[in-house]
Amino acid sequence: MIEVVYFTLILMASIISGFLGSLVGLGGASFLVPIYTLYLGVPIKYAAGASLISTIATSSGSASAYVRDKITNIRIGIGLETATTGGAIIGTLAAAWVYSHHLAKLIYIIFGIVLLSQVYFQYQKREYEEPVGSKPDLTTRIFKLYGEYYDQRLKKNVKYIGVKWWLAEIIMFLAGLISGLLGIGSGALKVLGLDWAMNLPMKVSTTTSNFMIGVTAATSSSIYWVLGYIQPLLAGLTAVGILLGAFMGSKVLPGLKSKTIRYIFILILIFLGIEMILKGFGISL
Amino acid sequence: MVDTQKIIGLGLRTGVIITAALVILGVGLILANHSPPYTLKELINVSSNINTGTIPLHNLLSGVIHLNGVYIILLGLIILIATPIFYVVVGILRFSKEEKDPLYIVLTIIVLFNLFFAIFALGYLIR
Repeated sequence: MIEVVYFTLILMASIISGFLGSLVGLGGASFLVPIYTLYLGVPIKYAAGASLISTIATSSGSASAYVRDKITNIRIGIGLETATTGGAIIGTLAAAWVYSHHLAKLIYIIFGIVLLSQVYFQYQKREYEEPVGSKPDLTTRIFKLYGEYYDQRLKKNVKYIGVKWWLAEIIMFLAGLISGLLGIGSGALKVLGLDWAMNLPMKVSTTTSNFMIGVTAATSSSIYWVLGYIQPLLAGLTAVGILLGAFMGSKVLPGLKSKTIRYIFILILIFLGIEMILKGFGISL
Repeated sequence: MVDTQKIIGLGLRTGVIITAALVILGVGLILANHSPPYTLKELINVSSNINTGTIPLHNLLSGVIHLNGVYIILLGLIILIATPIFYVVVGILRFSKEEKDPLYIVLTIIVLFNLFFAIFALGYLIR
């Protein structure tokens, strides 16, 4: 009996997380880790381990289509992964230190704060915009930060250039750090680096960020593996559930005209963020 | 000329599909009690210490051959973690063969170094 409950709860939680994650435009981890830790009693290191593994699955699964359609800028992505993988290593080491000193409550608090700030940055400028052509700088030339893609909506090739590689590199390091520390993809921060710092078109930013998440999470999860933060059954089920949920979300999303529904999900996310912070301080609602 | 973007896209997709298939197979085997020495009851305990740190990885090959559910899932997870590594390697080939771009060859090698350092050294150093 108990095994039926386990499979039902884990699968339902991960499918819902993947589904809602793809609808609000953040990864499934944003919903998954809070649901696992707050409501299903999963220790946060196992929740983070399962979440990290699922992050690779959703990143690779959805990246494949965009890479084929040549929207993803692989050159810019791989170049900036020097920083995300470095940050991921430092972040994972920090997580290992925190867990070995029994300070898991810190992870709850930081997770809550990151969740709330991701929501903020994600929705600060939501309206669609073509990036205003920025002047190429030194890094544009050195790192060959340019490309073009075919925009389905505008029905034409969009040429673009990127600037301020160094600033993106700093933001990417932070993104990697948070990814390793919390076991999430930190895609929102990666998009910030590509869209805000480098001034790439939104479409290129989101797909390139998604592509980069896989390598970042592979770096952290191999350390999580050795440290024993991954339960095979939990991580495996979660990955399949999130993939399924994200796939369902991607089918529903284009038909989802109403903004209200998305705002409700974002409110849930804010609620989960606050609950994580409270749990870190030992308060439960 | 080989289209590396097509190869990367295909590789990513294949990795994910194989992983999902292995996980589903592994779960089935665990349900059929085919995962010695671990019992279903232990495996569904979210607080147990049956994890990647305590399951001996040197048993992976024999575990997979004997269709042990736990090791089949672990194999799936390893393939999943390896998928992004695959495209970094393809990236090196692309920057060296197709584009002859020394700066990006170096950057890609740094990424690969970080990855391999994390996989093969770091965890063992701090454990």
